Amino acid sequence: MKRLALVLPLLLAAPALPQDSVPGVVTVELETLKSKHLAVQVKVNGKGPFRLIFDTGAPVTLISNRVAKDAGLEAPRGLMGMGGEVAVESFEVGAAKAEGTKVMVFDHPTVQRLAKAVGDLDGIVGFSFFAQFETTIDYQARKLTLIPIGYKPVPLMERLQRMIGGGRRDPARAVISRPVLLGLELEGETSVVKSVAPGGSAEAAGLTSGDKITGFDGRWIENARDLLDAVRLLAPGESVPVRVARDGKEIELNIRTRSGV
Amino acid sequence: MTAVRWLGTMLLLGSAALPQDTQVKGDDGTRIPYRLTDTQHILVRAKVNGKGPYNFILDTGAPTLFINPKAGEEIGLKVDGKWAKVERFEIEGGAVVENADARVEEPFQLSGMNAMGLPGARLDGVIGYTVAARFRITFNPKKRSMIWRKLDFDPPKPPDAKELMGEEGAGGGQNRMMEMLTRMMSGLMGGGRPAPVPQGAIGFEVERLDGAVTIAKVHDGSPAALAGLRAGDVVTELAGKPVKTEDELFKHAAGVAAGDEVKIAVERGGETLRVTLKAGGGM
Repeated sequence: MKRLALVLPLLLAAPALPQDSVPGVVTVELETLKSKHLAVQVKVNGKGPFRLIFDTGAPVTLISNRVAKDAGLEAPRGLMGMGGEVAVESFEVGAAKAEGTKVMVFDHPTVQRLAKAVGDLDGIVGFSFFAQFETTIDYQARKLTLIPIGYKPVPLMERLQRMIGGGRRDPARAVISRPVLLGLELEGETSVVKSVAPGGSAEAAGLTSGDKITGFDGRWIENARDLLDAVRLLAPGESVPVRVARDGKEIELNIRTRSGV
Repeated sequence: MTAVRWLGTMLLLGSAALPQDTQVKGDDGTRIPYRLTDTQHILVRAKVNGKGPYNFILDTGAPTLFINPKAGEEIGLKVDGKWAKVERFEIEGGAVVENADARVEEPFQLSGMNAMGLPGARLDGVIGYTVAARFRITFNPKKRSMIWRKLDFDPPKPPDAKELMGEEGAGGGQNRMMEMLTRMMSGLMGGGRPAPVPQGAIGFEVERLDGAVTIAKVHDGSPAALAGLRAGDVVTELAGKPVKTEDELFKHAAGVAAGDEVKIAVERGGETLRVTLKAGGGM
């Protein structure tokens, strides 16, 4: 349940875009720092530009206290000077603008140390910003291409609090959920098909008992968990490639997913 | 709780002695499947010298490829200082980098997250600049795969962290403090979360008919068939909760593990039927 509550918004949520979001494609200059980090120019509530690290490995967006003050942001104070996530009215990376981007106000010590070597740095642009776009990073051309996709990421703190806080109140198991019914059962923890349900989509795809599934939706499958992790991301009505080892040969099939439990 | 706020940022500096003979393979526009961890990191899998797959975070904020020492040992990497040569780094989906240099150490962010079990998967390393910069990478959170296009680009060697930032470098005292803090937090929280279990199979397909969630097909021999459910039945409750939409059905079914007893209510010919069945191990 909780698991699904966390995952579903990621898979399904497509709320409307903020009204004055930039439509279409926006290209942004990327600066490669001598440390080999990528940096972009950012305006917060119209103030700036400030130079921030662009970081696909950061689930949150951080801005320094200096920027927060300039932008008139008041963030809740937390441990060691870190605040919680606050929504910023306007967050611009180059010409790409997003409203309501969640940021954390925090002078990250590593960013500060790095700034001593490469010049001013005022934070990190992370998932809470770039997940609102289809993002293309071209290191060679030093360009970032951003296309708004109307996706609002769930704030990380909210997710973690639900995960951890929820787990404390009710140490419930996490269930790996799926919105489709393939109609197949595996042998134990393996990826070998034990049985297919008559009339189900696995049977329609040509899967049969004894097949060892080795690939699914372009992913490597070595065991039952791999397949569960792949299936949880599917939606009903998709055509998905399946690789199976049968009689010493690898064959490729296609499964049409159906809505079911 | 507040300490988890630290976990996100991957800002690591090291130095990569990148050899001239590093080679990249990968068609134009290779689909690279990923999944988002519970901590909103982009997780891709890769085989290292044919071993694995291992879980890596895609991280433009890291200057090189990092592999944690435990995985390095399993793979049999020969470590010189903290560096090792990876002959073949194959990313799930088909992008390959040959003769890549890797730093064999566990960034503190990974050890903290792994200790807490926060990402929902064990993390074995980080794909940073020396690998990622060889590709033009398109990420869209609404899609299950990224697109990686090979660039004719040999990323230059990142400078040594000490050279750039002095003795403290990236592995400064504050980082070590953070690692201790995350480990401590993990102890307080019971050290990780329980292993997830698969959703159980009930055995019917649904369609939306006249605004109702209707059983389109019942799989022969499934728990649903054994309980007497039939095509045409309208599902109104599952696991004690009302069902009006397919999303509600999926949401309630997502809490049902294999072996669980589930109560289901359906309408058939103007009457309500209630059945209890035991979810099976299929999918």
